[in-house]
Amino acid sequence: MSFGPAEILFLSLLGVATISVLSAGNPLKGVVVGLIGVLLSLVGQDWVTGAMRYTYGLEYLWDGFHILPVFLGLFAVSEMISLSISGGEISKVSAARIEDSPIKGLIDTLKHWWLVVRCAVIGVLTGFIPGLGGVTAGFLSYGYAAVTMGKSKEKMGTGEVVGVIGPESANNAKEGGGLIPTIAFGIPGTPGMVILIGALTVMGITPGVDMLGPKIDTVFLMVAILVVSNIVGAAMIFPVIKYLAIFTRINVRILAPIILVITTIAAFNSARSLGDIITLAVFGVLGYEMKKLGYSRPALSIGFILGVGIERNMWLAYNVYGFGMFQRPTVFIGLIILAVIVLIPFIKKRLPNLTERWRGNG
Amino acid sequence: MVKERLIFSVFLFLIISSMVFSAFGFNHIAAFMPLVVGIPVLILSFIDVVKEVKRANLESKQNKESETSGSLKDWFKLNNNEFRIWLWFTSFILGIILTGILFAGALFMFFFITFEAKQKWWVSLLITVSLVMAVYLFFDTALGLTFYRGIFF
Repeated sequence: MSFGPAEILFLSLLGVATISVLSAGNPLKGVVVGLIGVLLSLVGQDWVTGAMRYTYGLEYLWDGFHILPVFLGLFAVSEMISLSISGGEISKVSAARIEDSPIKGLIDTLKHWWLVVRCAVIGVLTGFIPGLGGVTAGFLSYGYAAVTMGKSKEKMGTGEVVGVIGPESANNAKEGGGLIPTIAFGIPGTPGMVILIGALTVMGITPGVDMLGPKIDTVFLMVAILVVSNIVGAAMIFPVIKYLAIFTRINVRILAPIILVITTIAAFNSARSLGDIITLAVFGVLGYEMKKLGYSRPALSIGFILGVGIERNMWLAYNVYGFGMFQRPTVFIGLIILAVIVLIPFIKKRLPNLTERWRGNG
Repeated sequence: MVKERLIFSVFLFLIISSMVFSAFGFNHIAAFMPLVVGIPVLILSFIDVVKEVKRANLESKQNKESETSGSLKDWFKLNNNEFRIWLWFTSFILGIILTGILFAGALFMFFFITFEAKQKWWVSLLITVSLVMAVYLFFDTALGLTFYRGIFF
């Protein structure tokens, strides 16, 4: 049982299916913007034929929209505009509550230990698949965390701690998952793993089967370093959290221009093109309107991130397996899970009626 | 808000329509994915527009009953804050295009903090100068990143 493009395709589709979970308040709008995200990801040169799509003669769009300005626009710029309009401070809680918040954060994490474990598993599995990326891990676990909220999932996106614990657990765990293909097969899943392979090669260690045999001690050393570095990192940041939290008490109209300037510098360095700044501004406006009018920004982001992968892996899978890709066991299981995710909201809606009818008959 | 939502829904519908119709001009392999995604989303977007039209009609009926006026002048009065921030943002982006990130960023920070955050001019100047220096030292000198220099420079 191997992991090929067909499996990556269905895992990506699984990611897109979380859109319906993320837009619980308004599924129709969520699905619309999610699929617009997929359409926006298709801008640029077609991977199979080399044809240009939706570039309208602009050289900047040949590579499609760059992820960094799109995401900074959707989330950072729109948030800064929104906060500037409302004014005041970011944090609505008192300074005394900020003092207590590091301990409370720790307690919340321990309280949700089962969610931490489950989202960590999602992170490891996502990190294990080369090229799927940390963003997918974050969104999958965010969607999963929303599912665990049950009826109160509409609170997601309003500062609900579950929405932070889930993606962060997956984000940390994906590095461990990324080590598996890197060490075992020499296939790096992330840019960080490419650097790791380079470093190992410089030290005379060739990733591959050797790492799982005679050099297994090095693997355990790496695992130990990963665990220790996370603990040391958390311990180092813990005493300064309350000082960092002071930023949330500063007048937002002082912070907003500073963050906007830094965001613009970051976006410009994505491709060092004026197009990046214009993309940032356009997606900033779009993100603000979406936030204001109740459209799900994470849904658009998921569609945008996974769109290219879906198309690429669809053609790869079709060329390699043809329609036989649906007969592969992992794809078959993936299809069942996909169907369950898509159908669950409808079944849940109908379930009370069916139960009542059944009771009435009984 | 309902009218704004309707306008935004129509805007999304027009964007999707233009993308779907453009896709018919691609070769069949390049057009496959845009059409497979585009046609269903066009239908869903149309349903969304219809829903918003119904909601807007309902609201306008209720507004007629309560006899509230909805003139452009009232809208500006209500959204004065929002309108002002948008002017700042637009001038910031135009400033960057014309004069570059550092110059436009410094001007934007100084004036925004002075007029919107209502700080004294020397406080704004202090924040602006220290931040521009920090940004330059960190991004340019330490990280070697470049700043967009604008059309004029």
